[in-house]
Amino acid sequence: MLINYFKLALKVLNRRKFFTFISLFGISLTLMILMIIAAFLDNELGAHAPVSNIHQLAFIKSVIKSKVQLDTTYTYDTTYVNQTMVLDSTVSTRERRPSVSQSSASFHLLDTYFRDLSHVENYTFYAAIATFDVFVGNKKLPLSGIYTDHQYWQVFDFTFLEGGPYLKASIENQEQVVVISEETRRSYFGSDEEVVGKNIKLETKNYKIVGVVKNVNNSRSFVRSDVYLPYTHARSVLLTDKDVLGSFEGAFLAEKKSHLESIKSEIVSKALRIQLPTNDYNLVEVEPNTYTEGYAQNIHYHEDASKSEWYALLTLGGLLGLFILLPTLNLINVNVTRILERSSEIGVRKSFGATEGNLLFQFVFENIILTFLGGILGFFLAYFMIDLINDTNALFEIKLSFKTSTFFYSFFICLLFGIVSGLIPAWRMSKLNIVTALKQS
Amino acid sequence: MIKHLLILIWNRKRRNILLLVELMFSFFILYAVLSFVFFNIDKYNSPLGFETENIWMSQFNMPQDLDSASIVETKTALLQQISSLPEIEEVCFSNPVGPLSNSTWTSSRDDNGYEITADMAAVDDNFAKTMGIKLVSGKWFSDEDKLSKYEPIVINKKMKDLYWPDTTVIGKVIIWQGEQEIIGVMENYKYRGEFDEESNMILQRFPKHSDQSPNLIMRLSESASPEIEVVINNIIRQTAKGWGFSIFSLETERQRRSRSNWIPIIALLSICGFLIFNVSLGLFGILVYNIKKRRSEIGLRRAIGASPGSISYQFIMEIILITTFSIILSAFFAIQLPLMGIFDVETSVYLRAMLFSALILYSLVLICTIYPSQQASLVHPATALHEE
Repeated sequence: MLINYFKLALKVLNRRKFFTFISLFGISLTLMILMIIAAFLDNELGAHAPVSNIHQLAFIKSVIKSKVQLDTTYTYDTTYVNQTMVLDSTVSTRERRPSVSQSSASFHLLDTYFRDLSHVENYTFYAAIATFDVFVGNKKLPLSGIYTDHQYWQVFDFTFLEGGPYLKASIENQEQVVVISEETRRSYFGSDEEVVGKNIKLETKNYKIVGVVKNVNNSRSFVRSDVYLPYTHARSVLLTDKDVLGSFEGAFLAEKKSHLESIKSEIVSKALRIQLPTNDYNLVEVEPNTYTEGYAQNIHYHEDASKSEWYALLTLGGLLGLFILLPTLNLINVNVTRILERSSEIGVRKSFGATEGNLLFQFVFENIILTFLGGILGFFLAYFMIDLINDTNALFEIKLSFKTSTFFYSFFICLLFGIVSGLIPAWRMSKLNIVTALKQS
Repeated sequence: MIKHLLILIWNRKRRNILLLVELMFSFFILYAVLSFVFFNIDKYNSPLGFETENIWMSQFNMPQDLDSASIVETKTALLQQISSLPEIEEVCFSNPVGPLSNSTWTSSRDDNGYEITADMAAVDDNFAKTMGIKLVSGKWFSDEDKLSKYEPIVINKKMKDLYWPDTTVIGKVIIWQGEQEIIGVMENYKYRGEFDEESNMILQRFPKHSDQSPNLIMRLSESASPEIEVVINNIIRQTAKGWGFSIFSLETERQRRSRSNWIPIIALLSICGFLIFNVSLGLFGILVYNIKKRRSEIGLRRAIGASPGSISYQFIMEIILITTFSIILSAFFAIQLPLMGIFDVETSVYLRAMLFSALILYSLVLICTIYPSQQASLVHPATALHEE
């Protein structure tokens, strides 16, 4: 019977080519866009190397120091009460912050206060601030660099193409060692041959390459870099300065995901208790974030990071919802029109004893076939588009990739799309009275 | 006439309600996307206020253990060597808050009797010439300022219009970093890039060889060859031994920043365009079909004397009425966004987005109805009634 339905579905599609075109056009492009969005979100927010534990991490990215003053304002006023003049004064106080500075954390701050947080399995401090102009022949090769500690390589699970990370001893001895990315290996040495043991010249110093890692294909600035160096090579001022503001960030790996909140609040309260030596500033605030919260804050800033996340989710969800609803509505509209053309067929089938359920199933099934045709088309379109986006560097360093999970999402979306857009017209049609249905032709 | 059309619409309400909902959602999508686009384009449209073509910037990381005398000495040598190159037109220094350089410096004071908030930067006398900054009134920093009683500052027009709209500000002394005198007003200065809202800006004067200005800005002549970068790089490396530095082109940086803002705009516009195209195809199909179904009604009207024009008019008016309903309904929801003020966006952006969404929707619907309604007007009464 299903084979019959299938044949019938293809016949119907063939009959009204314009409507078939509208439906397939809508379905395939909608699914294409959904698949690209899914691939993008997974790439940006999903857990994959080198940050497989992204949902277990809390970050210290921004520190605020401010001077808080209480301003007292006296307002004197005179009023007449019972024709005698009375002095009426009001006093109001408000908190004022004449100077506020915000930046990344200093090494001193992280080093002194945040090394022994409870429930933290591992942590790392790093500064993604270095830029080196390296010349290969006469061509400039600008390289970005991250200064890291040795735990960096434990917290983040980089894939090493050759060699390995530098260890604690190399950092403490200020050895001139460096880990480079696959991309740097290609652009600096001009080939994909092994380079461990060779030297790379940054500024005036020669660094020995100890490892080559796979490129990072998303916008995570704390792992994306051309070279990685021991933090002891950072300018000495960055390490010794006693200010709380600086260029470093911290990432803390929670023992369990559920510990994240307590780690965050421990960071916040520890920061508030810090006494600043100078009078210029008297309050330190640290805003720890999870990765998604930080990402959301970049889109829509709110002091309370979880509110930011909520806003971003609302905006994204709202837009996606609207985006899916519109083609669905369009498809329903087209289907209602289309199905009316078949009233004689329905009349005949009904008079020979087909139940409403039979007809409902048939029409929904037909529609699912239609959406899957569109889905297959959309899949190839998405594949093509993702290639195009990657080839033209349209999203800069972000390189999208197709994952099996994306495919399953899309499959599920297809099914849902087919059922929803088929159900209303089919239900309406199956209710049709035999006599009217037959008469209409 | 309209009353009659309303009855016709009401008679086919089940069909029309789907159409109505579809048009409403189209309006929402257009509204959301256009608000976002207008919001960004508004910011983009105000001029950057400085030039980026052929301008290069080098940011220095100076070692901490240097005393200021040796920094000044190195800078003087750098300035002298670099400006002696024939390809270099102008050179200047600025503090870390240079154009397109990722640093900001904001402060606010209420010592003037009212609160003043502004972004600050410190630059030297040659900055305006190097960056091509235009002044609305007053003059730029010069050596004369050494002798003046107050430290000179230059503000942007936005700040002047906000705090002192009706008076001339040249010569005005305000309390900022101590008492400072406004000597010039510049047109625009969007130092964070084209897509950033311009903030109030105060530029302070730095002595030429101050030890606290780590940005070297160079204006190259148009004929300069790319190899000049290697030459400059070598000069800096040899003169400023041990200083970290990196050179970048402001033009490239401007393009990079503006591209990352254009991407979401273009992506959203193309998604929106596709959706609207999709909707109009569907609308067209449905209208063609509907009019085919109503041949007998058309035949009857023609038979009792309606002109072909009035038949077209009827169908066009029907769909326009439905569109108007859906726009009124969705505008009611759309207006909640500025009323509740969830996002920090000017109301005019929302209103323009609403207006344009409505216009687009009307023109779309009209385009989709022209062909079907013309087909309807061509119906011959005899054949139509005969079919029945």
